[in-house]
Amino acid sequence: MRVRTLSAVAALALMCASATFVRAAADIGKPAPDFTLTDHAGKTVKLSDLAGKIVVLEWFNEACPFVKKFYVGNTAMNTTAAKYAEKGVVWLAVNSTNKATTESNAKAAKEWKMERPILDDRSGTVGHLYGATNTPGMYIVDAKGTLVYKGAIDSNSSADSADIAGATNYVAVALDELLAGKPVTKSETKQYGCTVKYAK
Amino acid sequence: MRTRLAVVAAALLALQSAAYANRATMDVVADRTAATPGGKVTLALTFTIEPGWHLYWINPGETGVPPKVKWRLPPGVTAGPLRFPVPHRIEAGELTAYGYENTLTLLTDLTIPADTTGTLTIAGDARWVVCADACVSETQSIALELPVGPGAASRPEQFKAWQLQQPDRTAVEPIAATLDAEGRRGALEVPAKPGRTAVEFFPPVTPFAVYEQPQFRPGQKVEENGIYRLPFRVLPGAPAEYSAVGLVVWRDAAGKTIAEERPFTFKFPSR
Repeated sequence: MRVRTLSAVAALALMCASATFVRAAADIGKPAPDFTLTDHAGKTVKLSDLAGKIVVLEWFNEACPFVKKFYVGNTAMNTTAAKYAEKGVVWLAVNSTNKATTESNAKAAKEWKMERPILDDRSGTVGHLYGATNTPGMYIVDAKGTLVYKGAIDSNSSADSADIAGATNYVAVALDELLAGKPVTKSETKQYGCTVKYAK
Repeated sequence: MRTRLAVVAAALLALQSAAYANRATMDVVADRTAATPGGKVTLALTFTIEPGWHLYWINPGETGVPPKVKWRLPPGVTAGPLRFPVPHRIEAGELTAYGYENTLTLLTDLTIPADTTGTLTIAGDARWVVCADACVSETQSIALELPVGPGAASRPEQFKAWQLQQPDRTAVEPIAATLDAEGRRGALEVPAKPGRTAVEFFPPVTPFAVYEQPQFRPGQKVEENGIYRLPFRVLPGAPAEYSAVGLVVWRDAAGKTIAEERPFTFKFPSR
C-alpha cells in the first residue's frame, strides 16, 4: 500500500514537472516559436515574415481589469506602442481567450483605438507555445527572431491606472536597449494580471 | 448645464451599478464604541464574496492582486498595515492563486493621538480585483464616525473570531534564503520543528524569484538535516537585499494546525 502511494506521488510529481516544462517552452536567447494567426481585420500574420524587425507580443483580453488598466481612461499601452512603431517596432496583440471572436477583437480595437492587429488565438495554441500565463503578458522578439524578453509590462502588479506613472515599463526599457544595439538586461520578469482564459 | 451633466453622470453611474452589482461587498466595523485619545482602535474590513469568486492574499500567487485601502484620516490619526488572515490555495485555470472564498476579514489598527477631541471621521477608498474565471475590478468607499471618549469594547466575540483567522506573528526571526555563488538559483530553507509537520507553504512576494510549484504542494517530505527546502530560480536584476513575509502552516501531534507568518530574507552575492 505504501509503495503504491509512493508511486502515485512520483507519477504526480512527473506530471507536475512536465506541466512546468510545457509552460517554459519559449526560452530567452532561443528562437521565438513561429506562428501564423489571423488578425481582427482578417489579415494573416506570420511571425517569420517579420524577420529583420523587432516584434512585441502583448497577450490581450479586453475583459481583464489588468488590461483595462492600460486602456480605459488613459492611453498608456497605445502611446507606448505608437512610440516604438515610429522606430520600426511591430507590436501585435494576441488574444488567447477561448471566447474571443473576430468581432469581439474588432470591437475592442475600435473602442480602444488600437492601431495594431489583435491576433485571434482562441484555440490557445500560440499562448501555450509561448507559455503565456497572464494578461497583459509581454514578449519581445529581436530582429534575428530570438526571444529577448518575456514577462510583465511593468513593475507594478496592480489593476489601477494611477500606478502606471510610478512603475518601470520593462518593455520600454528592453526596447530602448535593443534599439541602442545593447543586450536586454532584465530579460525575464514575472507576468502579472488575469489568467489567460484558455479553452479547456 | 453643469448640473445637468452631473445628473446624467449620476444616472449613468446608477445604471452601471445596477447592471454590475459588486461581486464582493465590504463592511467596516470598529472594536471600540469610541476612540480613546492616545489609544488604538482596531478596524475589521469584512468582505462578503459571491460564491465561486475569490479575493487575494498579500502574495496573490500567479494571478490577481490583494485588496488595498487609500485612507483619508483626521490629522494625527494613522492606520497600520492591513493584516490578512491565513489564505488557501485556489486553482485558477492553469495557475495557482492564494486567497479567500465566501468571506474575508482584514484587520488594521488605528493609532489615535493623545490630543484628539470631538468626533473622528475615518474615511477611505478600498479597491480590489475579484475573480472567478473572469476578473472584475471593484471599489467601495469607507466612512465611519468614531466619537472620542473612553468608550467600551464592541463586538468582542466577533473580533476574537477574526483574530483567530490570523496567522501567528510572534516568531519574528527571519528565515534566510540560500543562494548559489552566481545568485541564479536558491532555496528558502525552513527548519523543521520537533513535534510538527509542515503541511503547507505560502511563499513571500518575490518579484525576482520563480518558485517551482510542485514544491509547495501539501505533504512534501523533510529534506536533508531537518530542513524543508523550497527551491526557486532567480530572474535577472534581483536587488542586493530583500525581505518579505511568507506563511508556514504546521500540524502538531494532536492534529492542530498552526499558521506561522515569518519574514524571509534574501541576500544576493555581489556581482
